[in-house]
Amino acid sequence: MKSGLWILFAVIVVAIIVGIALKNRVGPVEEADEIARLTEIDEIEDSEAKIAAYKVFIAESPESEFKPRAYSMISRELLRAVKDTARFVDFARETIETEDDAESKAYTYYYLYRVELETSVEAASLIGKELLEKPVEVGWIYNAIGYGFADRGEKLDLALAMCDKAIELADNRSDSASYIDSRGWVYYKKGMYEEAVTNLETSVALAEEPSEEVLQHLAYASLGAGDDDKAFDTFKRILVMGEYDYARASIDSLMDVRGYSAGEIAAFDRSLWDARLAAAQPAAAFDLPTLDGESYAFDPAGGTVVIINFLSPT
Amino acid sequence: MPQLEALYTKYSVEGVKVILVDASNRRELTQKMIDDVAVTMPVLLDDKEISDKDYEVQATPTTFIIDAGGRVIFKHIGYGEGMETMFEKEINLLLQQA
Repeated sequence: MKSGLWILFAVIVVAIIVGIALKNRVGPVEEADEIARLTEIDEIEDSEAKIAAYKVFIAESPESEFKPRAYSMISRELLRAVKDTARFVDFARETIETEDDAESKAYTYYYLYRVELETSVEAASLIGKELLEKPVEVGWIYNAIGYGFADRGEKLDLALAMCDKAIELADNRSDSASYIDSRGWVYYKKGMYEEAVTNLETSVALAEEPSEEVLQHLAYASLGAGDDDKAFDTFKRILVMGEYDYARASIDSLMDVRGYSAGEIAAFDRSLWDARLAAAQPAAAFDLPTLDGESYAFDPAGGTVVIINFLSPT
Repeated sequence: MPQLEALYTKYSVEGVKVILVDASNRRELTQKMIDDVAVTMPVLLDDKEISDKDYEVQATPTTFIIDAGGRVIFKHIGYGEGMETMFEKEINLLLQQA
């Protein structure tokens, strides 16, 4: 759970990169040209030259939808390659001051928040407060910071305000589901289990395909609220998704409380496996080139266990 | 990725396959990444948008575990510490079912 925020962030960054790559195939000429330029910049080895090139991109393409990515890459370069935090903070402050694009500001704020978090939670909370005082109309930044505090169990009132703001800004069902989950998790951390359950159930209902993480939140909140039956059903739902240790441990202890016999436990496991098979979708066959230019065909009827990992180099 | 390579090495004797697919179809960057970690698993470039169209990958990394019957038994988005233990557990479950 501690790494949740980093995962979220990695997913956000990579989603942009994949988004760009996917657009690459269908986008108009101008977009394709911008992507080509960004890809070229990505491959520049020298940090200073790379940062300068991103700045040129931003100046020359003020309307580009890829501008947030350019800002994001400058921040990353300053923090990870140049390793000059003070210079990053100057860059971030200047961006927040001068840039009008909300998404670009949101990314900059996020890096700033991460940097402040390394100093102290107190310092990071000031970034949250600043965002509430000078709103940026982007929901995910409020959600990311709100959820981050919730996960740490700190600054929970601020976290609640951040989540409320995120929910207010959500403009689609999937974002609403995600932000309401965060608010539910804040309530859970505050020990307000009824409110937690209400929010988390709303989130689960809104999501087309609730994630294991949201269900995990709901299961724990239900336990907190004393609703063991709901907790049991939710942990079972998680186990249908995968053999998660915490869900297995919780189910085991709930079965223990209920006085399950060995036979009942075995029957539960069989029903679980049946449910997993029933939920499993057929995998699609494909034929793709390898890095060496050979052709590689995947046939789901091959009769073997296969792990497919979709990745995106950064 | 080194963790997946370790799984591949460990379970290939059991017939388990591990396939990496660059969803963003960027040959140079992927090659560079592979060179850095010495990967022997097949690395494919998604030049047909199967990530998007057939597997509905919304963010990377996303990992699918497919059983011997060709069904997607497990899907995981993102990467967290200890995920390889989870993958291993799923593989073992599937090998037991076979």
